[in-house]
Amino acid sequence: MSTTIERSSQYKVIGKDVLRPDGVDKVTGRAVFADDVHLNGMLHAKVLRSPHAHAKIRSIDVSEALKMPGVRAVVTSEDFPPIPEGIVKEEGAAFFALASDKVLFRGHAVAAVAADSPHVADEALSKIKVEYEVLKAVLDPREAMEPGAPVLHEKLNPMSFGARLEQHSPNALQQITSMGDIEQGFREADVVVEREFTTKTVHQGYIEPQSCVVDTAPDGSVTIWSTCQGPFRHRDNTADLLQLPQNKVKVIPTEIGGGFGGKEVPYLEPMAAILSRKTGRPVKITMSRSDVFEGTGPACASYMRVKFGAKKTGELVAAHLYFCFEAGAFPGAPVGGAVGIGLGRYKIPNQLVEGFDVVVNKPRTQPYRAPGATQIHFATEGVVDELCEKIGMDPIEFRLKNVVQEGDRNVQGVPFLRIGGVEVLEAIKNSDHYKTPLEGPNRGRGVALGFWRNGGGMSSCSISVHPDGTVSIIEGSPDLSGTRTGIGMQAAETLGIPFEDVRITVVDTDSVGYTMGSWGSRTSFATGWAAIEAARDVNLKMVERASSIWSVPPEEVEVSDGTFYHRDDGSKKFTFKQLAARLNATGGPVVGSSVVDPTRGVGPAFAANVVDLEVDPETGKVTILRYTVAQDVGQALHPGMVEGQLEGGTVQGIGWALNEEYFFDNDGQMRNSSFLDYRMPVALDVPMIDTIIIEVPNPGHPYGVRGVGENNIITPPAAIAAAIHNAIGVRMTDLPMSPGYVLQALWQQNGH
Amino acid sequence: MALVWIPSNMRHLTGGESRIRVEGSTLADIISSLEANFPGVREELVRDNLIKDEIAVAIDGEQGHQGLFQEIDDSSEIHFIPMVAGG
Repeated sequence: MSTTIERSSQYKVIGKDVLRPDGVDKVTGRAVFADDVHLNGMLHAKVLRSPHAHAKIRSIDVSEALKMPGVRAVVTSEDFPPIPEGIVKEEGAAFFALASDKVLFRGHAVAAVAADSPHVADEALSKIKVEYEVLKAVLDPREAMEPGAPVLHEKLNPMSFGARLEQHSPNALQQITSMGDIEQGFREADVVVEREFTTKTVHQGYIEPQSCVVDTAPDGSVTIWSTCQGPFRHRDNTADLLQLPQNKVKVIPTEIGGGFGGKEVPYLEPMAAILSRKTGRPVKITMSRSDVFEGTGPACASYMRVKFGAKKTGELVAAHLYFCFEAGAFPGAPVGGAVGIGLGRYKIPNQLVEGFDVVVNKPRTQPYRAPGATQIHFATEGVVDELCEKIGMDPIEFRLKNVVQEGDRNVQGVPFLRIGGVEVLEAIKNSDHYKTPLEGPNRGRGVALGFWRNGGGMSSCSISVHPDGTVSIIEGSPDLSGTRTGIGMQAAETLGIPFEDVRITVVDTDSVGYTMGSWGSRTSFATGWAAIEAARDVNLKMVERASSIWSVPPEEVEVSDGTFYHRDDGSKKFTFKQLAARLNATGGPVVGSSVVDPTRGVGPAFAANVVDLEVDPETGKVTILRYTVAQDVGQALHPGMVEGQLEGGTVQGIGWALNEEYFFDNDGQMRNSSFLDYRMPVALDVPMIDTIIIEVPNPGHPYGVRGVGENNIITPPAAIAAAIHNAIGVRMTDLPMSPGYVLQALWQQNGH
Repeated sequence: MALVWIPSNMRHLTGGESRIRVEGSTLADIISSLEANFPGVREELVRDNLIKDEIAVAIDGEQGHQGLFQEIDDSSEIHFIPMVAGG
């Protein structure tokens, strides 16, 4: 069910539920995903992965594998050129390549075999002899920070997930921010709550595993078909690792079956390129599900300690957030982002945030929808809920009293523009759900507030006008969530033409200008802005053409809503189609293009949740009874798809809250690397999600757009923990809140 | 004079000061002035005569795209913000 309030109506295309152009192909199986790509002579490759969490590689003998009929080539780290320090700018280069001197987690890629069939390649893996010297592994971030802990790297790359951190200890980097006087703040507090929280490793759980086909030409140039969120990052990382010029690597993004942050880096493409070079044939690698769990990047586990102080009247006066994110085998947990947004939703005059990025012998983590925010909100909103209880204040009123508003400064000191924190809280407060009393034993209600900064960055776009008045748009943002529709709608709105006259295609890295990846809730905002600018460029050129046809100065020609007209002479008028029909004969076709970097206009966003649930006191099972999410989306480009984002993120948040976790044994082996054992929610686990779409237009974007895709996963674990407390009186401080944990908490409460 | 907000991780260079007024008409001037008074600031912000990739500069809340050549008004507020990514 969806309720939309503050619906804008000034637009002709934006805000309408147009038919998404990729829908039919996706539901009928026509859409081409990476594993659908088949090239003549294509080989199939499989990856040999480490059975140990931490070990030295003494030797690798591939001779027996190479003797097998049908095996065409084997790649190890020795086939990669030496990697100059710092050449792969974003994260440690070794993490995209094959392990060389050490393996750092169970599942670390060691070698790969290309063969005539995937079965032969699979069998050949067993013929590769790797001699390991097993080392002591460290699996807990707090232990990894202790003196004497096993050291994973001689040197940590201080660039960690886009942020630069300081070295703290051999396995840890840190980032600290502060504001005001934390000690004085706590002295002023009437009520102080301090608790520790932990969360486990969880996976994004995208349906389509990582897959690519790579073809290396005799001149060394590489063409990659890949399921990836950022084709330009894949291109640049692959070029860096293989030490090729960037124009010798072309990445063709295929349709993508989910990413959520997990498909931002090239796990397979560099090794496939080397296998293709060795064999002179295209090479396909598609991961199995256990490869995905063990060899890609899940969301980080965490340990958090939170202390909040408030006045009896409800004002927050001090906060101390200390957290350790488990980065996995290489630094890169989202510490910088979490430091920035950890306390960002509230006005807290005195605060200290200490974040640690800690390497341990587990898979190197990756973002998962609002990276770091779900963990941090679980802890900090949990403490807020407890403060509300101690003060005796309604949890929504408490949050309304403290939530940041326009003009307040974020943790870096930058003032917020118009934001919708108050609006989402008011929407929940006024919802039918919140107004309806919850009755029955072992039932509880919880609320929580989430905040996410969203992203901007560089995007490019090009629009060609055809003689019949239709247009073709090319852009470089893989479409994870219907973004091509929203981007095309922004172009159509700017051109003043129907959406049905727009055809939009996501193209390869040779065919469009640099575009950052589809992550950070940036795509509809930034690539949408690129489409707007390209459409404006089209309009400008068509104004010039009309002026030429009419023999009047361009400044006398105006355009509005797809009509070009002389400002004084009513007889001089073209519709978009009429003028398009004249282009080829009056100077040639019109192509508009743009490159934008609209970081300045990024609009942060809020979501508020209310959830009702019931706890079974016999089994500890939690059943969600009713769930309502209100999210500020700026301007909903396509309300139907926005609703889908709110529902999807909420369901993933429910899974994170109640079920999902990697089970590692004492040796760092994941023991549940299949969807049978890694329990994600299915349709039977969740009720219909009620969504309330709040539109507080972002003043930084031409159509008021804010990012939508990530905010919705942030709040569910915190809201559900509050509801469980409301139901059974127990504070839940660890994720997942699985039946066993809930039951154990109940037993402890009852003195068992 | 422009007002520079010093990030927490650089305050050890500024004696704990979180906001400093600095003279300069470009970002390069601002950083040079800071460096003259608080040695080490430049190394934190600049690599190969470019603002480091991992740092975004916000001038009055808006990102400056001209790097060290970015013009600065006397009334400007300048923030150095760590770049962050998403999922």
